[in-house]
Amino acid sequence: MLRRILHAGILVFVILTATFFVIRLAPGDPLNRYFSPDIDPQAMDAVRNQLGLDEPLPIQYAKTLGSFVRGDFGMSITEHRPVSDILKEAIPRTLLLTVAALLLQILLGVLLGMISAVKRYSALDKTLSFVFLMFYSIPSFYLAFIAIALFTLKLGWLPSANMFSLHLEPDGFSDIVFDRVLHMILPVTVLAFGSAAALARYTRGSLLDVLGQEFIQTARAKGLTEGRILWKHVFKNALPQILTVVGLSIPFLLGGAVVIEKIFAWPGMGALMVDSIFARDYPVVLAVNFIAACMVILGNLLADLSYAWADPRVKLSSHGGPAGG
Amino acid sequence: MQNLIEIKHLSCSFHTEDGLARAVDDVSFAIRPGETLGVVGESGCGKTVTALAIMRLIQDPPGKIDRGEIFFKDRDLLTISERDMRRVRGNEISMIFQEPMTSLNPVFTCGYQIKEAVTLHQKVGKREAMEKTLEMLRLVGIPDPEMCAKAYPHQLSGGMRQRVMIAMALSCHPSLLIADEPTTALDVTIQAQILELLQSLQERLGMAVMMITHDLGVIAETCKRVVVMYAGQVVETADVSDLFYDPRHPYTLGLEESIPRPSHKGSKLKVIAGRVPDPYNYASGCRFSARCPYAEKRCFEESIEMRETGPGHHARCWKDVTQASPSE
Repeated sequence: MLRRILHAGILVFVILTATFFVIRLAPGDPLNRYFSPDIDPQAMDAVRNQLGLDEPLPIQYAKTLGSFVRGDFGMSITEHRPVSDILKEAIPRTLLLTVAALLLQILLGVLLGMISAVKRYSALDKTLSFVFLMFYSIPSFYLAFIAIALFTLKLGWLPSANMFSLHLEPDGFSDIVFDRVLHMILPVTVLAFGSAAALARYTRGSLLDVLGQEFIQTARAKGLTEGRILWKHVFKNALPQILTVVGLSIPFLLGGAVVIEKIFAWPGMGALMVDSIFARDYPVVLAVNFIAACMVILGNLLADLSYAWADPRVKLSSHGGPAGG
Repeated sequence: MQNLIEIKHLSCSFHTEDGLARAVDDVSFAIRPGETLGVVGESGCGKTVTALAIMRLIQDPPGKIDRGEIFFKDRDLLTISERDMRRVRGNEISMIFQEPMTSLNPVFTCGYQIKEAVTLHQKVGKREAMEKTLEMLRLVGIPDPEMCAKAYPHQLSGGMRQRVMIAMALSCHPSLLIADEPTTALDVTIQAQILELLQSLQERLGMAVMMITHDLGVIAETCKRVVVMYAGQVVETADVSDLFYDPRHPYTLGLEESIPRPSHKGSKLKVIAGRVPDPYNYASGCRFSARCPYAEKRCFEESIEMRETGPGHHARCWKDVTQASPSE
């Protein structure tokens, strides 16, 4: 366990370093936005000096690292306020989106995968398998466009942008919640569908694996009902595999959130990441990447822990353990 | 004496991509209360399918029970509802399997798995069920039942696991135990222990046992009556001593000749030449004819019926193999 946390720390450090240098390799700098033909070059240099951007790169790197260790993410160059303040707004929004998508993905994926496995080789199973493959193959941005074209433009049922209606006059708290949920439906669904399809396929596979095992025959010979066999004996055996896939889908959800937030104008970390990269807002880019990396590592760690909880044969010793982590 | 279970003209088939496999074909036999019946035959001869048919556990698709009746305590198990069948399984008829490594669920404790059977079929409270579980574990000779109940299957040895399986199967005092090769996967010393255990429990609990095996040694040691199966059919039924001293079917004869004997040390082990016929495509005539050293023209043309060769002794062969000499 300790070793795993140490690994996670090293990983975060490497990601931070790579991000720092890669973004500096990109042409341009944060001051490009102030540039105009009649600006005084000396004024530009003064600003650059003020931001510390004129110092040699290694020194900047060391300073940045030092402030990260102290928990200080620095000031945003474009927004002129602490990066931590920006993150405090953005993180909950992204979590709202991704956690909702994660839950929807688990619900849809596990349930449909289960139906598919129980009705294996039936017409329903074949149809579902086709649908899974289709949603798995469609890129999420394309799905997003189709969804917007259909539900917003054609049918006009659902909003396609922002987190809330701009002219909403809420009649109590429930109105605000309803409005928020309405705005969440499209981005969450689009975000969840791709990974739900993948999860459903894995769930079907691992359930079928377990259903073919001899101890299922033992359970039937005991006189248990099919329902109890499925929910207790099969599901608990398939759970570690399902959890692994769920854990592995977290980075994809966060990655997908970048695109989805941009398309649906959802002001979370994904949108922030894209904007900050274009603005070369170095401190924000670094901080967002740092947080995203931490979330992914945490997700994997949770998946491993739940793996050990679900399967008594797995022990999280300091020497290895289940794959991943 | 009244039969506990009577299987009449049971036929099962499997529909696969390769065609229709007739796994069990017109099988009939009976088991009396408290009796041990051995079912012997090589792999794929339909022993296990017959057992699963009794439990109604053949997976459909691809398997199917085509024909037959299975009378158990005056009810035809093949016509009762699934709900009623579930009350029979694990309660009145139990089954233990060949592979104790894989027939216990790896993610539940042994105690839980036994308790599950107890609470399913008996109206008992939680504590009573636990007591019953420990009592069963003690009964099957596990030295530390409390420990064993808390252990997961992977923490136990093969022999211990088979004991747990037996404890589970017997927890509701079934009147019939189907043991499908219960010792095949175990070490020889453990095999003997498990067989002894089964015998002593059988006497104590007064249940009948259907002992499925391909090991004639196990049959000789444990059974009273024997059913020999070949290619989905019963080819001989007899009391165990008759079967060993006076076999009436060439296949049984071949099986017995292929047992390694210390007195024949140094000489080559006798085998039955040829292979088991393809269940997708049985030729007409006796199914053993292609491998039978006594086969004549008639054997390849007519299907051979069971006939009585002595009191309680039936064989599917029209010849008297005790008199005949092998033909070329």
